[in-house]
Amino acid sequence: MIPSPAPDGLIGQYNRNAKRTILLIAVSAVGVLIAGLVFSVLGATGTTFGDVLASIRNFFSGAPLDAKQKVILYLRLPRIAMAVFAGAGLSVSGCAMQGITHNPLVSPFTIGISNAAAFGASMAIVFGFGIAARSELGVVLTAFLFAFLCAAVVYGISLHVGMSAESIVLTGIAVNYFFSAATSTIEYFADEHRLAAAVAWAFGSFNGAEWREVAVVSALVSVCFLALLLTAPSLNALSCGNDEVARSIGVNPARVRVIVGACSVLAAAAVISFTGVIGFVGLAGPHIARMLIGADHRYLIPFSAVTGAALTLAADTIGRLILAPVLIPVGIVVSFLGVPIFVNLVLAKRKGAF
Amino acid sequence: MGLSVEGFTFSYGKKTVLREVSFEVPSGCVLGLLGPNGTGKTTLLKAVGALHRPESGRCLLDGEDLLSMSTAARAKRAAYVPQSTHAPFPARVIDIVMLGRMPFLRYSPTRQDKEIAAGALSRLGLDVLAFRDVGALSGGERQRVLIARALAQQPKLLLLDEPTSSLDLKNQLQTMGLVRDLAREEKLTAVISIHDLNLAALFCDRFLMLKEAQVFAFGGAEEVLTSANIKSVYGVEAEVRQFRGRMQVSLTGA
Repeated sequence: MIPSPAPDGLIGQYNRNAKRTILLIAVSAVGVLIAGLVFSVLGATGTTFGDVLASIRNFFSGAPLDAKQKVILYLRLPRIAMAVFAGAGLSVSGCAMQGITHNPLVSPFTIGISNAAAFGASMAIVFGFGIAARSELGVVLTAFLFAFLCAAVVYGISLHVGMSAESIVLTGIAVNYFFSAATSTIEYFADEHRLAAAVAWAFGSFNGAEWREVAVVSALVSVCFLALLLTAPSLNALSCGNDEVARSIGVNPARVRVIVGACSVLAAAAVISFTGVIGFVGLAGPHIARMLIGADHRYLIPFSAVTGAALTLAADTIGRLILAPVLIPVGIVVSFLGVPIFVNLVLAKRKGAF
Repeated sequence: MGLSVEGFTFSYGKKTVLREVSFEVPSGCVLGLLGPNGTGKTTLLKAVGALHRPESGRCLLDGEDLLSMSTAARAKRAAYVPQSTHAPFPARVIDIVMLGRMPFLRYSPTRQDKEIAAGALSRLGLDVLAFRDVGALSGGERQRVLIARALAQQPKLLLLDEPTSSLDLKNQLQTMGLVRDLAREEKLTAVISIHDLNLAALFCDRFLMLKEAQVFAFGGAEEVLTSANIKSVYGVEAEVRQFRGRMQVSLTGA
């Protein structure tokens, strides 16, 4: 069957599709925020939606908070905010990395950033290495430092051979294995108490998320998000898979890779340093977004943020509730939740989905 | 007016791939780049579009030096159609063609950008496929999408790297005919690297034969497509005769 052209022509249909896409992004973004508020009702301390609204109202009016309201305001809401920004940051980072490497298998995890951060965190936890050693801040800073060190190594080597997509992917994978082995080495020699702490860090969770942490993560993620959104047209040119074509339409692939790479590493590193390793979001978030709205990065970047946020928010809420009062780390639940969704979409789309 | 290449020299490491290559093609004409594998056809094509930088030489398009202008300025004048593009992600035909407007974009395509892209789609008969995934198209359709994207750049120079190599007979003829018609209508210069001498003879106006990194023969069909040249460049025996006003090459042995 040959579809006939739309009555208002190609441009009309193009514009209508674009409007529908923007509407979908807006509605789902609002949906995630509402879901966040609703999920803050759920938990060991019995609360209602009224409590949530009251706690927010009292916070802004400066009225005293009761115990329930404190639980909502200082335990659940920062955790939910962290889930939203972490998921958005990781997913946008993965989306941009897939674009510049035109490789659908790339994510902050696969090119080594997560494992480098885990190595940094292990160093801090086990040996007290780094700035402000062993304190919570020390772990965050050391993890962040190693995530960036990893990125610098990967980009340094790639730059040496012309910043091609393949060079980034291959060095990324190699460095990933290196840091994974280095982390295992530390864990092998660590005493049990510290080993447990290091392993727990690597699970990736939002336990004990505080507003000041949320502030740092959200600020860094937002800056990177805006920068990546601005480079969306260049990402479109690069993700078509041929650097010579990109150059022939006026885009410098190496320059775009450096800028976009720096932003996506910063976003991922900012999140992972605070939360630990959350692997699957950076890979699945962008793919789910791409399957639903297509490959135009002007829409794909914001929608990846939404799908990533939705994934981590849902996963963390399930992890909080399913075996309550035991909290299952989000890094574990997100794969259990995301894989079926992901596989389902792959099956639904079959051919041409990647 | 047209394309004028002067003294192109290019090497990969120590291997010289192009040596002092010079030629001129007026606008509205199609140039066929001929020669066996590894003689520098693709390198020459890419060097003309400054996708590879020649070590020395100039490349003037309508009097302007393509090599000394910015990437963005060059993208408004010269368009490149690769041999084949593996699409790593699904993408709609219209989005691929809209990429041709990239050199003119600030961020989002304007009404004018959309009209030019839609015009390029129509010109190549891709209207009904505009919202399909490019990965689901046939080889001939995909080739047309790539040409439509190049056309959306509104170029004065169109560079095509073996555009017919993976197409069936009908699509080969259609693609070549299309490029020739575009060259005539849009007054642009087209440069095509191509293996099939008969196909080249049917649609090209000028021919450039490369041998061992140098221009072996350049000119019209009668001058370039001769038995002696073909024997010398490709190492095969061939008979060449006039047929309905075109040169026709019959291969007779290796």
